[in-house]
Amino acid sequence: MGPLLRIRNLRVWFDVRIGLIAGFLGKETKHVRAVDGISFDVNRGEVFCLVGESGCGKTTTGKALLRLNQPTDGNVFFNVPDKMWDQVVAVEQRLREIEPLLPDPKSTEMKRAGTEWSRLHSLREQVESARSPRGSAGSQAHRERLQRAIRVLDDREKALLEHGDAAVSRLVSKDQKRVEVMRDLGPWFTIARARKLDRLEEQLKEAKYQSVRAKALRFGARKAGRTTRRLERKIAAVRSHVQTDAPDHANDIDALQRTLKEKETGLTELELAHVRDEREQLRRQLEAEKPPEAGPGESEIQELEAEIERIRSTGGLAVQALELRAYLAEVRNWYDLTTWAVRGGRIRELRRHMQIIYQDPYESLNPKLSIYDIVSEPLVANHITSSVTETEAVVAQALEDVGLRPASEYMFRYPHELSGGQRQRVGIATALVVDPDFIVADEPVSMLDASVRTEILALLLELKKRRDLTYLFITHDLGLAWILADRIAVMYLGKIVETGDGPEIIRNPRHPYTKALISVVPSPNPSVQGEKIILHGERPNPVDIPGGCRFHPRCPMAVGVCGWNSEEVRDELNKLLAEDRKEFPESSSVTEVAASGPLSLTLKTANPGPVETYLWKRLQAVALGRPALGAIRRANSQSGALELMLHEPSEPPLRQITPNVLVACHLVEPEAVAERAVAVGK
Amino acid sequence: MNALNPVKRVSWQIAEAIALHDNMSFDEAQGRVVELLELVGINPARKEEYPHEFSGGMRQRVMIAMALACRPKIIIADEPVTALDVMIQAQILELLTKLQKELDLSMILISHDLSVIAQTCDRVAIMYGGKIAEYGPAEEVFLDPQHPYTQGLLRSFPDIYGPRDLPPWIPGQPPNLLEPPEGCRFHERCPLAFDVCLVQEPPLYQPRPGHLASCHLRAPSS
Repeated sequence: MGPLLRIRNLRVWFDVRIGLIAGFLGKETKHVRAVDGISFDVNRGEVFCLVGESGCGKTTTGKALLRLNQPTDGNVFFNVPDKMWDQVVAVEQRLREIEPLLPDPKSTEMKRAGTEWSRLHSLREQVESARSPRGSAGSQAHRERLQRAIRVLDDREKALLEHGDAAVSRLVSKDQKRVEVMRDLGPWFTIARARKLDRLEEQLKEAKYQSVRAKALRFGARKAGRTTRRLERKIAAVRSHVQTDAPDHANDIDALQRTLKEKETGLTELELAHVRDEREQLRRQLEAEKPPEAGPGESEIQELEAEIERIRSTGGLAVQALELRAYLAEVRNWYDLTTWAVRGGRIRELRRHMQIIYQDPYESLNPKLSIYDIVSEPLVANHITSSVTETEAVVAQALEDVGLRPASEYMFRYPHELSGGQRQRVGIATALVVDPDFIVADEPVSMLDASVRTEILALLLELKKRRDLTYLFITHDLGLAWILADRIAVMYLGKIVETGDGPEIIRNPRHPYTKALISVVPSPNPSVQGEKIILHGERPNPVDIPGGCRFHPRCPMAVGVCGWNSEEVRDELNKLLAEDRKEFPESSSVTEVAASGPLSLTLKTANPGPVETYLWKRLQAVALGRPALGAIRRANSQSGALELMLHEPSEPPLRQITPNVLVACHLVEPEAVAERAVAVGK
Repeated sequence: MNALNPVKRVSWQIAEAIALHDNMSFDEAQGRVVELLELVGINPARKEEYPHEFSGGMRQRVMIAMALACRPKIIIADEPVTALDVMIQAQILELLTKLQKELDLSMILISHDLSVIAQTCDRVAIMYGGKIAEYGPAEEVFLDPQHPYTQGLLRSFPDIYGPRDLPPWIPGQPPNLLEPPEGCRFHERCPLAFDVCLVQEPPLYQPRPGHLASCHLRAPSS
């Protein structure tokens, strides 16, 4: 069994509003790159932990998988059969190989390939329709299908005539209830009377106001007084009727029931007419179809296939590429949930398979809804249960499953009547009630007290075993990841820096960020704590992500190739020059250090030659403590200036380090390791 | 996180305590504000900003600066790192320890996170149901807990350096303090409770010099 979810290059960017005027002036929209191209698989039945500081994009990833956030780019394949995936991988590989060889998409050659391909496509459809047992219009199978549909409609007509329409009576039963309520309220209550009283009281209020106003204005007070008195009399009259007799009450109820009956029969009639209409259409279609002609015979099919082969062999790479692309598009259409429509589309279907448990049980439950309302909402919204009794049974089962026993005790309480742990159990029940396969657990225990935490975790693990669930567990606590995770992905600023087997990563972290994160997890045992690697400063703003490796400004192990830009190098160089002022006289001949480009610096100096020698000597000596200076790759002496060139920044890709671990760090790459070894040797 | 006034500048909030207690005007207090911000590791240039412009860790640093404003001898730190990320948590704890040493402060750290206490405190008192259950030097309490509650609590913590199992937890709920249970307050959840626990409240026994535990099992006779 392969992975349940395959995430490829997922990106979630949010626009930063720049304002209308700035937009007109052509200012570029900036983006918060919350999730910036991550790929991982979630296997069936495992706990996959996403770990990282707040703001690294863990939750955004989790929500994007459920399409609660709109992914900007990338694919999330859900439940792709393994064989098909192998084929997809092969096709992608082949496409990567041939795409650089393709002609320009606007060239005539490519256009010709387009027509060739569409011919190929239609030929293949012909072959398929001839081969498939279902056949197309005109075939025997199609006639049979039409006949079957007509038979179904016949049955429906009979049922409608005999018992009426179930859907309609459900609709009507609501109104029926209203009639009953009226009957219960007693004989004085009639609709006309209630309305009349309402209206009169409204008028009286207005009249009283007018009378006050008239008195203040000393004009028209008598008239206003008359109106008020008249209205008061009228109201009294209606009320006295109300208390004594009610000849229309019974009539009202009768009339209402009659209209309801009419409505019911009317709607049923409508449905009946619809059914008859549809059947008539099908009949006409059936008559119009001639008895099946002989379809393409075996020899003709072979001819078609030969034609297909010919186009394939002569069409060349362009046709092949188009074919492969079409195949990929089709797979995406079916399995990539980033392409599914959110409203009324397949995402609805997805909700039954994927659910989320939110972080904060104090905020995520609606305080105005009872526990029953909260837990039953997914059932009702997804049309999973059809009757109230059924819903109630399922909700009760879900509550008992999460340890809220007996369910009847909790069902009609409100969130404020529960403790934090119990509320989180309600959150879990809400996720589980639709019986999903996959659950995103977004820090489900971080808001809970230490003593309740383990209880909830144990519940989650037990449910996983019993219901065969897969978890994407989002947490910033590596202590939890250590206990729960089968596999881990450590995220920093929207990228995965290290991923693979959970215990292996925690026992032997390779990325400097993972190392730091693990080192600061406190242990309740005061004798085991090793040295803490505390990262200073805060994570950078995800709008301006540092170039190269995005962790380099905070990395305690960074080297020259990690992606320093000229401004970072300039600041570091200024510091060095200031320190060296006494010891090395050359340093004082540098009058100015300026960043002349993103990757180049200009040093203004009277004697560039000696300064260059001095710099190279010093750079080697201080490389370990000042990694930014390691970025200086080359120096050009000019008259009155020295130009320094920096290493090209490159973002480290995820590299396979051991069979189970992937790391994205320049330090695991041979060249960088060599550089560091040299520095350490010095 | 929410302890700062959102409509006042940070400098104002720190200066307030100084102005109130040290008989200074707000302007005179600004010098001390800069000093305090430097002390807690915030660039003093940001002192005229509002709390929402600071991250969670920075806000906590501002809170610490406010606490230090009048040069106190003792600081009560109430769950100072609970709402923070592990890395920021480590930064804040490092800062608190550093300040405590530099300024010769005493500190009462209130926390439900035993691992934080284990890493920072000299002595620790474990409370249950409004009473002290155990008290002693941190090292001793954590390595050799004397009270069943402390033992259960310590076991229930996931330890990244420990075995890879879900730890056991203490079943049940904390007692209702309107009607605290008779006898030992922990007896309803205690795996080792026996008849005396139900009727008699244990005093603080001293199983070891300086290490106290309120549990009948630690009575000198038993």
